[in-house]
Amino acid sequence: MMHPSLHKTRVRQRLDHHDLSAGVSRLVGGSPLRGAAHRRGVLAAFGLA
Amino acid sequence: MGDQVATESLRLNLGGRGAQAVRVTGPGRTMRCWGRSVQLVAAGAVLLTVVGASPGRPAAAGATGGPSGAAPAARALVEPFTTTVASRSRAAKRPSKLLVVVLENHDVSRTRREMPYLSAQAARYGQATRYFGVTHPSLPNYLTMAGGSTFGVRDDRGPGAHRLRGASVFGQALGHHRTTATYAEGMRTNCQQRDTGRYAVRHNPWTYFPAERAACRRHDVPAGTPARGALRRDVRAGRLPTFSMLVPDVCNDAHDCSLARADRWVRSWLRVVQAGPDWRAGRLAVLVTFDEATTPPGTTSRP
Repeated sequence: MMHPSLHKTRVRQRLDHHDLSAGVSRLVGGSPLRGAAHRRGVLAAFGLA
Repeated sequence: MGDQVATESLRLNLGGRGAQAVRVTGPGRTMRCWGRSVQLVAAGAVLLTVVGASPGRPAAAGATGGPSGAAPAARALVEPFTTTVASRSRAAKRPSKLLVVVLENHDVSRTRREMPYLSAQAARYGQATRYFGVTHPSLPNYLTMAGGSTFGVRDDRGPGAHRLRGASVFGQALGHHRTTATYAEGMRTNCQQRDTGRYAVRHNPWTYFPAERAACRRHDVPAGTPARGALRRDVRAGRLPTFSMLVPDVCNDAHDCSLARADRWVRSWLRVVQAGPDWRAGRLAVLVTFDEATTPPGTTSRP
């Protein structure tokens, strides 16, 4: 994950494509879809949400 | 501590009451002052820090400094600009846009060895050390990114064989009045439903959602190259969508070609993206991931 505010950040929690999907849904103002419904999202995992 | 904002060019209003000190750091910065305003022009990323109120001091200042840091930190006295700077500050820390780049079929250890540029970017910014694909083969992984589910798909057949019901994250973005796009390398027509050349439709998940076909035909476009085309144009104009996906062709994504080639491809695009206003203002985060390399415990790994 690249963003100017990140500096040598390592996220050790387990993530997969559901977290990516959830992160996008939340970014665009929606609720995560289907199997991603209860995921926080990949942006949140990096402190970017 | 003050708020920080990464900016390429920012004009501030100077004034009398309630002035605040501003510190500018970063490579190649210049601060220009005239009248009651100050403009920051950055050759590289610049951090502007609001360090606190300094009421009663005159409203004029200016300085230049180079990357060596030999010049003292530039300072200016400005009137409160909380609306402008505060909103930019939040954008810097919380991106409003995400660009996802999807590569193919390699795990972390090989990537670290054979993709030095991407590895350096991950080390510099951020990396998820336990990120996994959800299954095999490719298609259900892409569908999970786009729709939160594999939809029960267990093969790589095209959109004609898998007409998925419901919304994708692309349609969800448009439904919430946000913007979205897929930039697909090697694709010849928008939202193309069949493979041609090195374009693989199984790597372009929006094409599998027929209820969103009209939007797909508008916003699922050929990527072009770092030198020309849709993605470069949107990057340079600061018009990247809220969510976008960059899909390399089956050589540049390391499916058919080497990781070294994929690394060069990533570097060529990231240099364009990170020179663009969305990145430099902190509006944009970029995520590079692989579709199906490292599987969770208990799943079957494909050679």
